[in-house]
Amino acid sequence: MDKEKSADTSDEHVMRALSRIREVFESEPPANADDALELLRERLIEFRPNETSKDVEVRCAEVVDFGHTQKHSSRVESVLYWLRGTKDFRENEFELARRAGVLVENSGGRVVLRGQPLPDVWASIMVAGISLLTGAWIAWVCFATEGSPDVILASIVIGSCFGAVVGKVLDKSFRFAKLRAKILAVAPHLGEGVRVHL
Amino acid sequence: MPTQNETFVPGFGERLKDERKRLGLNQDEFAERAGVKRLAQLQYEKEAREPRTSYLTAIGAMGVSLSYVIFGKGLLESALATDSIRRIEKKIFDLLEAYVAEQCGGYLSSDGRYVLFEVMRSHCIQAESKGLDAESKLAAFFPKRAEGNG
Repeated sequence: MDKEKSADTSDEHVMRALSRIREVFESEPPANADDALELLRERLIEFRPNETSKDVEVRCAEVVDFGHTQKHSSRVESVLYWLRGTKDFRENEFELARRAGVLVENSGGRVVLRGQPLPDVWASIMVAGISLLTGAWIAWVCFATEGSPDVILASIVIGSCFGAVVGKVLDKSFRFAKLRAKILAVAPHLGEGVRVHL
Repeated sequence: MPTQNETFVPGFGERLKDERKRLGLNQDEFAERAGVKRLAQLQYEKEAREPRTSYLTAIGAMGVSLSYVIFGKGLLESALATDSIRRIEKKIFDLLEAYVAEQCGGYLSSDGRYVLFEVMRSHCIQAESKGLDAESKLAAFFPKRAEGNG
């Protein structure tokens, strides 16, 4: 059943491609094979806004390379394997990428670089809020009986500092944003996602 | 009644018939080798229905020029060197892979790949041969210049 369905889909793709190729056959004959290929590429591959033929060539080459340089059952692993080949990442960064789910496969079969789950501003606000509560709690538990506002205030400040340090350490250990930026620098097309065939 | 479609250039039935006759086969023999019933073969030649990809693959394997049948432009015998043809074939293969990856969700049957590859190959080799002919003509007119460039 699935095979039949695939064959039908293939037939549609082939007929659609042939109808596009027909336009090339019916236009002025090109001067050489490279010109002919250029015309075929323009007809077959849908360009994105402001994309040149060269951009399309690079984009498609990237997609094809992902599909032919490795054998993995997971598309995400295929991309990680490709990234490993760039030698720009340390091994622990791949572990981090897996643990944090930096790369995800969407429903369209494309592997995309996940956006930062929590924007920096909100993260800062949350860390500050938690720090404040922590400081207040420490103050209440340890110094409330003394009843001195100065001591309570000092506890809040100390607790806040402690919370901020913890938050920063956690943030650093997670390093999601940093890793994401690094992957984007190496493979900018992952921002939009790449289609990977296995 | 001829089909109205955007894929096959009108007259494909006649061209298919030409190719069948060139191979010296009657409709029964041709249909059998192509894996269809005689009625289907008759309908294709009458342009009453469109052939499917599997049929095109089968007749391509029999030696039928697909670009001639589909588009009315056959592959002429080319004087291109083998390495030039290989270079063109590699580029077509890359383009085809890109098409499959970008437009077909990463999957296209081997029959589909074969048909598209064959028609694109035919077109590109013809184009390259045309360029070669132009260079040969230029060389005939300006032999010394051609030698100097070489």
